[in-house]
Amino acid sequence: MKMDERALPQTTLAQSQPLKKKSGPPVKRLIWPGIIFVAIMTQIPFIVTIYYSLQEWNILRPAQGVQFVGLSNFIDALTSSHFLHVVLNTFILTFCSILLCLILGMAFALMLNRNFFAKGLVRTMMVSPFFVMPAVAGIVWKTMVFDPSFGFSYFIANVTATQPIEWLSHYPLAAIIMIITWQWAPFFMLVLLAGLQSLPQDQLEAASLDGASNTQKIFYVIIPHLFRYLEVVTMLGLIFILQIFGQIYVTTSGGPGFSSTNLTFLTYRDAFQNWEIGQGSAVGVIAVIITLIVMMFLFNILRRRFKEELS
Amino acid sequence: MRSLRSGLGTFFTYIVAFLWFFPVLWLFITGFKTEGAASQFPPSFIFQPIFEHYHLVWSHGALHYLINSAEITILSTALSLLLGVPVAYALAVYRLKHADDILFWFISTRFLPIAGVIIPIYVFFQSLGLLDTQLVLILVYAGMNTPLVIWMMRSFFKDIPYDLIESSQVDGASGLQGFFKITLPLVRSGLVSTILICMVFAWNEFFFAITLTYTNASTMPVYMAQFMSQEGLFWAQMSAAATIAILPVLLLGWFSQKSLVRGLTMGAVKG
Amino acid sequence: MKKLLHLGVLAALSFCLVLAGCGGTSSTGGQGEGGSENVTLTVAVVNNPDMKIMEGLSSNFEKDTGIKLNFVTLPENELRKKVTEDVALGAGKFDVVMVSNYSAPIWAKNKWLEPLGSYFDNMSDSERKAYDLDDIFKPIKAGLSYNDELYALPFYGESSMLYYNKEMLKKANVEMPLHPTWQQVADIARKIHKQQNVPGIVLRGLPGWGQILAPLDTVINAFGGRWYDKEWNAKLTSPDTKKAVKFYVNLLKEAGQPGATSTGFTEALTLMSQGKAAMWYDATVAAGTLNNPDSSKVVGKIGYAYAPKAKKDNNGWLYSWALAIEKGSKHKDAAFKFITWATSKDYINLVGKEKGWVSAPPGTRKSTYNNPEYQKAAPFAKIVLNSIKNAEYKHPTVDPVPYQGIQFLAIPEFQKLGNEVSQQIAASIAGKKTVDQALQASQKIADKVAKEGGYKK
Repeated sequence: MKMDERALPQTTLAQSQPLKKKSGPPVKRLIWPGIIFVAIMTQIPFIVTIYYSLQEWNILRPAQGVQFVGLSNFIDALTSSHFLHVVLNTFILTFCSILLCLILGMAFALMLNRNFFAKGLVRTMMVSPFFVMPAVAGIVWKTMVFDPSFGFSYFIANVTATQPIEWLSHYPLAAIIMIITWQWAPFFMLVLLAGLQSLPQDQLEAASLDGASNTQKIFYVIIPHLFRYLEVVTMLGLIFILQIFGQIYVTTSGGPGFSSTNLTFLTYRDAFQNWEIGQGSAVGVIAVIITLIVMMFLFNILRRRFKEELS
Repeated sequence: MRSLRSGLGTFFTYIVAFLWFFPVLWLFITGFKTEGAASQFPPSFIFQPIFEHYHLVWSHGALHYLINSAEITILSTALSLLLGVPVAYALAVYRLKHADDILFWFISTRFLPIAGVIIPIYVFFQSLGLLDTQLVLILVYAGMNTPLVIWMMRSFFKDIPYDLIESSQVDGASGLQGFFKITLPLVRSGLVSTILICMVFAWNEFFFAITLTYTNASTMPVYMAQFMSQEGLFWAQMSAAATIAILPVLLLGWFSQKSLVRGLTMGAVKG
Repeated sequence: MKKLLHLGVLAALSFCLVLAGCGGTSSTGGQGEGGSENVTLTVAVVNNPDMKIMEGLSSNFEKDTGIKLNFVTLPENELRKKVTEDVALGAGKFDVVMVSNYSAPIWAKNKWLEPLGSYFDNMSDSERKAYDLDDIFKPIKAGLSYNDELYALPFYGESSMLYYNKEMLKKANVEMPLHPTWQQVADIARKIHKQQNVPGIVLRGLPGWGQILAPLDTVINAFGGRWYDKEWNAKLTSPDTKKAVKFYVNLLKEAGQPGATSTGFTEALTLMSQGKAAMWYDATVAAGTLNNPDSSKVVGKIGYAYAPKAKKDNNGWLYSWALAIEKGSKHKDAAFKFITWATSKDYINLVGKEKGWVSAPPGTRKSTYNNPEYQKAAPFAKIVLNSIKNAEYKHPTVDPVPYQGIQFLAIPEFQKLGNEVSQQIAASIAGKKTVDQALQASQKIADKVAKEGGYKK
């Protein structure tokens, strides 16, 4: 078996009929351990969370005990004046971050998909932020960039003789989007770069022969080819960026007011700053439901797409 | 004309790369400054480097936390591969009735906000007497990463030429042998990317680590936390600690990024 | 889908039953006693400079007693969260925990801490004399007691005072009285801000009950405002309270530091110690750092004044970090040995000798303030001493209130109440709301808390 990965016949599993199941048992043996383990680690705690969400439980008042209160935690959460604000923040944060990551990731990938001196080093420098701990990233940006008395914000204001922009007070959401983009655009770049490098060269040449301009090439050849990569990286980004916590925690603590609180952070505020476990659990459950609805929607689009390809 | 334009493009690329990397670079540099110089503005680029902070951070027991982090990261990644790869393989190779639903279910487990499930997890492991053991974090991180493994590996398996898998199964050898000898090597770079991503997340995870451990099993991010002071000027010390904390995974990332790109390419990342 | 839901609920319930069963029985599972030798104590402390010094010197204690110490050092917020989980959910992994005078009485009431009376009774006469409990300031001790029983020993204590940069005030040709009024402070701040284009005053603006609310509450008290009246009706929209909050917010906006809503204690300290601000009203412990040449550029240039007054005088707050023994600890005697060591006269002397007297833990013992070496090293000692002595912890306001506490309300719900209200105030500093709107929202939260907490009948 010493064939090259790439020299093989090009019928892959995705394009051919999947194997018929040969026998029942092996499949089950393959799948069940994973399902059981993940269920124990994530579903059982979630079910308990649902149970907690129906209770009134303030950890700091053990004398009050734990009381069943039905759906009142949910009603409180949904009717509170900040709830819509927080949901909106979550969407803005996620949408803008992913959009920026896509644009910048694409731009970086195009920049790196050429030959030039010290290309490896440049790529290495660019991916680095992705490996930095979220909390450290937050602190570095808070101190180095956003601080109006010591950071770049001050420096730029000095150079242009204006008042420094108070990012964390006045544009907290934008500030957090910047940090997320700094960390995640490199990852988007890596995936899209992979996509670019798998682009068949003859297609590009054909396009050139047809007299296509560079922009035309990007829109008619490159982006369609990259579609799958874009989908995947968006999905992965979505999973993580929806849950952003550390960056918010160390920079704005969700404030001022609720202006940079997302659903994850609201859960934290209720459960661990206010110690209302029931209330926090209810917010957590709502967050899961909202996310599931959005993801189901996206997943359906994805599925429809690749069903078309199969047929 | 053309070379001029490409030269400009390269120059621009250098600038962007430098800007993007600058915060990380600055963290490294600040670790070598005195606390006074670190909070000075405008910042000094030329200064007498001191090693005091790195020394202090190191002598403060960083090794214990690094070892914990390494062990937990490696073992949890191994566990999630052990559990996730078979599922991914089954989902990719066999015709299953509810393959899509199973896949969606796995991904959906990643949507739980950690703050919402941490108390049940804490109570659960406390009742088992497992708090502050490495096992807790290994299990929790494996639970967190298994769905990712499944999702990524499934797309890599799907790209394997059909004939090969069939031959690996038909050949008299046991299925397991065929899998390890033929199938797995074919997805090697995909596997590397998956491992890398799992390791990055296990290494950087903070919320579970600080909640479920005390001292014995605490990881690097928890160690970092003691330098993120709300009461005092430890910017330089924090930078030194942060540098030590992110260096291992940064090196890992730097060395494996080629594999990462290749892995993601070959997968053609099928939805 | 529906079937699944039913199944899920069933599973949830049965799981919870199992969990409840486990929780009940497993708490007794000990890990072996071990003799009084070979004891390892797990100690949770906050990561401020004083505690770092203590960790460094703790090898002395280990050598003398053979007791091993395992420190868990965390920032204040993480520490509070971690320790609360540990005691409230019954894990009991810590032997010694660091508590403040806010949490000590609450936790004592919840039976999470060990009362210390009997341990002092069991001390030998010479030990008791050496420790000298009477040497510790009364108001500090009172803050760490519940039902007249002491639950924690203070490591350091603080009040609040006004710092000012003498050079900047001189340049502006103004003088700071020792007992300034808030109006005087505001006038000076505005003047310097205009003249020298630096923040005239630095005040915390970072949301959090332990951040912005600490100085702000003392301003509210000074202006005659309050959180609740005697019957627990929220008073956050009353004219005096409103006036105080408006004063604070406007002062910050007009003469304060930029980016105020991300200024906590650390950021403020950095501004002041780098000579980038003219005045700062905050905790007295900062004086040590401002006089430390390693990190400060203003050593010897700082002047000190009492917490400013308005309608009311003596507005300094009262806070202390103290060491307590967790109820679930298995090594309580060893833990007691450790907390008496870390809060003893000998320890303070040790720090004075090894690290310099300006770094000695302040605010706990009369003997420290009688020590001529400390007086020499700490020019602010007298103000701190008087502020702590005169702090009106039990009667913090002009009009009577049902709660105790100066820069906080000594009720468990204050973490929630304070955090939510502080976010509202921060929003008004950032200009996202008016002060009136912010206070109206705060008033609603305060009313809800009074009802849910069962305070308001």
